[in-house]
Amino acid sequence: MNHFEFLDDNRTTQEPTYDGPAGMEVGGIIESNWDEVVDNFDAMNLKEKLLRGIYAYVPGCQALVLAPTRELATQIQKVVVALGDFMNAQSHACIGGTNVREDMRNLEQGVHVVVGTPGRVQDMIQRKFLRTSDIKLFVLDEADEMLSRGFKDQIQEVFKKLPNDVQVILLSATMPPEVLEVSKYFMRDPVRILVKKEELTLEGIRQFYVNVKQEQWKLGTLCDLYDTLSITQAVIFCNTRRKVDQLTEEMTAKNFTVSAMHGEMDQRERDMIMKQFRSGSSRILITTDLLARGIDVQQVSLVINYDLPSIRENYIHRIGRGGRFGRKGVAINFITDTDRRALQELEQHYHTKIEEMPINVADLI
Amino acid sequence: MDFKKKFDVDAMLNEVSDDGDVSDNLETEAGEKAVDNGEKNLLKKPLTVEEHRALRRKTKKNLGRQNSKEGALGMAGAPNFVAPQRRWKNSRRPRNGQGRGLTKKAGGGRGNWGKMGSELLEEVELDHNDPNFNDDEDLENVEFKEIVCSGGNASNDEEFLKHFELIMLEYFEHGDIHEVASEIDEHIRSGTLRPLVIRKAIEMALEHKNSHREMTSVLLSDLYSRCLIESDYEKGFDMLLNNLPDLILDTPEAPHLLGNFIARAVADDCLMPKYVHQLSQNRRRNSPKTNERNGNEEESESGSGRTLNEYAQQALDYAEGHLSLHNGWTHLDNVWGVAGGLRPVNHITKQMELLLKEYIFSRDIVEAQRCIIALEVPHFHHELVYEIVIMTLEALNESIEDAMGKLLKSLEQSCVVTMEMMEQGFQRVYDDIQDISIDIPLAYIILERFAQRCHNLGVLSEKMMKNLPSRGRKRFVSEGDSGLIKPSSMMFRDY
Repeated sequence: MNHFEFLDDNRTTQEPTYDGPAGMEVGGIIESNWDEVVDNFDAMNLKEKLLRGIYAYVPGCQALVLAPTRELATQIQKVVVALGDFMNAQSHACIGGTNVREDMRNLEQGVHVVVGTPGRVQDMIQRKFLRTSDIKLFVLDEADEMLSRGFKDQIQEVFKKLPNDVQVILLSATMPPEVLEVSKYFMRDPVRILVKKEELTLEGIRQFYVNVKQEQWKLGTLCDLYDTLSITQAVIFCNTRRKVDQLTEEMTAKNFTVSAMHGEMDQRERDMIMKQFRSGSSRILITTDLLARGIDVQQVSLVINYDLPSIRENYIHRIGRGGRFGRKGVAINFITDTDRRALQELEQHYHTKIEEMPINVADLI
Repeated sequence: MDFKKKFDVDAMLNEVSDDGDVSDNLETEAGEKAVDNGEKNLLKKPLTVEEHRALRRKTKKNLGRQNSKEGALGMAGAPNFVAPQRRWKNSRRPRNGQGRGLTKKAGGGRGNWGKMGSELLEEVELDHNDPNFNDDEDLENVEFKEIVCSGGNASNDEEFLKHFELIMLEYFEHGDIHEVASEIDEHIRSGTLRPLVIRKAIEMALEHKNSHREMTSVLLSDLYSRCLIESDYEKGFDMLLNNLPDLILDTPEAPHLLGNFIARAVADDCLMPKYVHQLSQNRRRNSPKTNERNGNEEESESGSGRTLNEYAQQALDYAEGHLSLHNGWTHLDNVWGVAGGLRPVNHITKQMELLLKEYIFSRDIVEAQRCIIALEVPHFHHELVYEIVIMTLEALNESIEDAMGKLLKSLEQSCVVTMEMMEQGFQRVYDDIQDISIDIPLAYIILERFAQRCHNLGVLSEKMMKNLPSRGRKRFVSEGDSGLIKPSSMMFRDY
């Protein structure tokens, strides 16, 4: 999905030290209705510049980030913590629930970056726990999501409380009319940037299925395939955490080397396993959908769906890949007799062909 | 957390008296007789099996299966701990402890033994008046647990919620209810945690998309009597209603959504309609004391009950509105819309057709876009493009062509439909055009015209224009133009 970005440029009224995020300088080819087109987010160096305008020695909120859900707000805050670690910038996520008291205390202490949902932030401003006078940067993440969740009024209320010279960044994966409308509300002559994010595609990926007839025969089939798999690196997807555990155990019991990853593990453990996998010291990774989006396994040329994904949109997240990675690969789906229908639906959904696996599958990898 | 503890204890006590009331109401002569007999028997020696059966046969006439008066005591919490893995719910059986007096399924009439194995699925109800009733068993199953739980509550809650959040996130990915149920079994150690399942599940669903809400509703309905009992639902929803002023900060539509959840739970037989009606009636009457629902009601009273916050009232209004529709509750099955990757492909295709037809009449691009996004199938949009083109071909109508062109343009511009999906959709039409032209002789011409229009709007790439199929014949300009051949910029196709 493409990402858009609106940057409201008010540099004239701002301190000279703050240049705003990179990518302001217009350059490169510009597509019809965009002021600027960027290949990906990394090219914008957003991360490096995001906290540039924050003065850590001055207490008080200087940047405000709005996100559609508490879940996302927490994630963003974690990233900000990592970014601001070095310069000692404090950040806080307003999540509410049992944390309201903590919210207040933290805000009163003066954090530099505040992340939260529009409603929550508005509440904090109304209760005068969050002072807005020092805010220089106002970020709206996933604006389309936010509007579809009905936050329009809250966003506008929050915006009204902000100083006039605030810099506004609005990010959105899609640009439905209501997002445009909102962007008009608080942006004068924005710089519009199109970020070409790589579209996941099934093109160039050979998809096969193996009918193992019955659930319990999947394991045997996988063991038979192991020799083939270990030529290269492979990711195996199961539907549930329990299955991941079970499969890992069974494979290990049969002296196959595999590593597993699932949501119950904490971040450190996951990172370690990913490191092992990336470095090649482990060749087979067993995991679930929940983590498929978080991990970058694009280089892996073989993906096995031990279970078919029950939600069809997950299929492309498991095996699809962007053009950057050469668009080559093999996907093998294990199906039982009851899965035939689901397989057909997958083919229809992606308008693609999933063929029966040939014997010489090793040659294709 | 303190008040919660009190809440549970009180609720438990109340539950007991609540059920006592219920069985009072339901009591019939036969029931009374049974009780009398039962009490007498308790004093005397235990009945033999034969006698007991004879007794049962007598009482059975009027009631399917009903506990004797005292036996009802156990109903509230007790038997559900030992409830064997009953068949998944959704069979619309009443859950008030007694059958409808119908035959056992496929058993062939009243008084039969029922199908083989059906006795395993039956709900086990402990009858305190049963001469074979063993007090110890009961104790083991109920009170022990309850006491254990009321120990270290707060940390227990937190820990469970953390686990359950993961379980739910995973459920949103795999949609496997059995998995969730067994995970819950693993983590739940006390009854007080069960209402939290409802609360947390719905709180999370509020943060997610409609398809996830649908999944949550399905989950909650299927967990009924597997992991949860009715009072859990009531407590869970009570908590949510009380919590609404906070929830609304993160989800502005929370009252509406919660109303949907409640209505759906009622339609799924997880909650009694009474729950909604009484809460809202109480509110209307605004009287301090209303009878029957003395159970959780009284407890929630102190928290919210009579002083229901305004959002909770809104939520209940929504729920009541849903439930008071005359044509039954079937519409509640679709309360979360029709979206999601869980629905069959054909179903989604049909939805797309419908929304396009609506668009043709209304010409409301914003609404059409909203519907398309609501379907939540970004990788199936090639079908949408395909349908758009086919509809245009069938319409033979310039104004529809225009409308569809505009729609495609707006979809492309707002990045709802990606370029790749657009191309794939057109390519599919190109591939099928021969077949289409059998029904629509003008298909080639209209397709060319429409593609040209889309190309001008910037929707269709140059490459796709080049691939445009044409009927397999050379078209020269007639001799009228001094024998010139059509300029090379136009497409030829040689065979």
